[in-house]
Amino acid sequence: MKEKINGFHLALFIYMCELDVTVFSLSRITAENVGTNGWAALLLLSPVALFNIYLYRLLFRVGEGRSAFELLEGVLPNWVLFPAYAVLAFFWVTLGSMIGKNFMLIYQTFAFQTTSPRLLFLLYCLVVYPLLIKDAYSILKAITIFFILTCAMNLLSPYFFGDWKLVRLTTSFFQGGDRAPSFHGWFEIYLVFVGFEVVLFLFPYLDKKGAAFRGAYIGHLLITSVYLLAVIIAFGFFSFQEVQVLQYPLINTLEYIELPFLNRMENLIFTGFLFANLVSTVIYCYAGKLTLQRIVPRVPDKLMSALVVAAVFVISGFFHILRDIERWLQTGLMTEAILSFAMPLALLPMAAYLKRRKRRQSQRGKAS
Amino acid sequence: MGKLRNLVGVVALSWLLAGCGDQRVLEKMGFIRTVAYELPDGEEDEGKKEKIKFTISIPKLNQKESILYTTIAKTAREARIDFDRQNDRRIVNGQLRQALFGESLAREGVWEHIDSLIRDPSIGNRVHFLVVEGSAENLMRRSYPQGGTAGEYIDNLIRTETGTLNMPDTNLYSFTRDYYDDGIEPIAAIIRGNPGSIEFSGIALFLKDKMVGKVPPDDMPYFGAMYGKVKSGDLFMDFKGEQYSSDASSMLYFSSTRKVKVNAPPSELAGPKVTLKLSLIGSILEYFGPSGISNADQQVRLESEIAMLVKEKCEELVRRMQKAHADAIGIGQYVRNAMPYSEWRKLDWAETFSRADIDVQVKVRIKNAGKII
Repeated sequence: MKEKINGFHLALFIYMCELDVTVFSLSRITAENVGTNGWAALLLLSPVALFNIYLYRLLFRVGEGRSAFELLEGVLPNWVLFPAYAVLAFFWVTLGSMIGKNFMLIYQTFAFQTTSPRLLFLLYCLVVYPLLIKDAYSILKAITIFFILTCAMNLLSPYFFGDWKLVRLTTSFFQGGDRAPSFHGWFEIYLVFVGFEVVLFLFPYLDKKGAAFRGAYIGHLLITSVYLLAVIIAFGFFSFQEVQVLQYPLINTLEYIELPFLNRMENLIFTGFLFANLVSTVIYCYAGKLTLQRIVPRVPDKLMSALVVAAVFVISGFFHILRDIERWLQTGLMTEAILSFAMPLALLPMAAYLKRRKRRQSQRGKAS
Repeated sequence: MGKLRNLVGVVALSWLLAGCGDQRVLEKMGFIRTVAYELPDGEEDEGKKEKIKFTISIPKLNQKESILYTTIAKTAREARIDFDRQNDRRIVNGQLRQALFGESLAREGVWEHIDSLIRDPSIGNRVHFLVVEGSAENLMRRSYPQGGTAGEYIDNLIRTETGTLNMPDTNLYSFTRDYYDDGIEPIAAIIRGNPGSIEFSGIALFLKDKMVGKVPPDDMPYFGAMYGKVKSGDLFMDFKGEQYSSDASSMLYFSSTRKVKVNAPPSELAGPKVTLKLSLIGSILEYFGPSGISNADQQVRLESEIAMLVKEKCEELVRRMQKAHADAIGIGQYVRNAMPYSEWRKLDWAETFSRADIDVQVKVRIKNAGKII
């Protein structure tokens, strides 16, 4: 019926979903929460996310490729599901909106300081809409182009080798953090990986065997290595204590790039991150839209997309300052990280139950 | 594909439209190139003590002259508001290239000003950070036979000096990095305005944000070798003392590497024992002395004499830094790596550094000796 998503596209999808505003402050967050050589924390946390992706793979296999909605609706009555759907849809649209708004507020620290943030965000929403009216396969194709634009930035990393010194990394691990080691601190670092769980909504587009999941693993490992690169560069390029005070160490590193004909390139490069955040907003809106469509299937797709985008715009209006949005976004991403584990864990028993029921039905069919 | 084109169109249009609301017309801007911070003259005036003299230089469109504004204010922003009231164009920081600090202010501490500079997103971290001997305002006001404005002159000077000589490029990035690092102290290049020129006159040693000492200009190559890698330095050596057989010599295009080895971390009784191994290789293009450098033996002897001299100079510099408690060459970074982190944090490194036992070992190799033997 539809073209199937292959592993390559899924890898890029996972890469782009995970990459969002959190990467700007990642080095600081690791330096604050775990201390020296904080990059090693990513090596410990990345497998957790990898295991989470494996849970989705497992769900896909046990559920025989059924979407989450089919699983839920096969087991639970609608009056239980619809309120939950509404809450989830609202949450995802809010999360998408907050990621976009956070990016815009960071962007306004560097450029367009006097432009109305509402106007800027309206333009952002205008770009979200044409992507949102597409089906998942077309969104993935657009993501491929965004990936090329975003991933090209990694080519800039050799630029920092000249001033990078191994000795600044220090020989001690996880010492001298600003805060005492805590679950919350590690969780805060983990948030950088949040985003891959949207793969749940791609189930109908994957081939029956789920071979494309290998791409999801590769995409996740790829983004992990990019995060590692960014953090290791920051730890050796700045001093450890400096990383702890830089608001967005990544932007400070970009600031250092100077070409004979052009300096202060960060303003130019920073715009490239728009795409990474755009993708995050679009996929969360897409998740929200699909969920809403289960409640009101009769609303035309384009109208629903327009309503979702309008909601994104309206919600963004509640956040005016960076401090607020960062706090709220952190709460949002933490909730999403928990959801990301909770969803497959809750759906797996349902999938197993449906599988058994189907088998029993077919046996009964054969017997009669 | 058509739909994709529409999407690209929407993206492009939205960002172009955003530009309409927030215009920056080049001709309507005054780009600050140089900003100077110094203590005002006549410090006997009590009220002025906590205030600072700010001078900014905005090059005119012809790039030959610049507009200078000076005022006395508490912070740079306060000064800017004053300048804005006078200037016919909107003053912006986007093209700032140099931040000059008067020596007396540098000795009092510069961090609050640096903090404001690095906090401002319109200012890049490559802005040169320099200490000025004498009046910074006069240095900026003067016109020089080298042509162009003082700001451009300083820019070119830094480019040539840091490119070919062993002068570390000190900018906001390097200063902030070393300010925060607990194993190294920041440095800054010192410039001095003469009637006909601007010259580099040494390196300022800082302890946190306060200038506490100075490396004289003649010792800059030695400092450069101890500070890190020198890619292409010039070294003039005047051999004074009976231990030398040579008179004077110049080693050109020398490159150097350094290795720091911590033999023993600091204890309660003794400071750390550190060996600094320097290795220099270059061309000898000037030699004054009785023995000549025509054969291998003579070159080997000269190598050892140069090594002896470099060692002597470097150890003198180390003592100077130790006296000032300023570990400008980052020995602390290596000591930190040689001991448990918790113990390092308890250590007062500036004080420990002052009683460290630092042994400088120098190895010199003559790559060639020019066109004649």
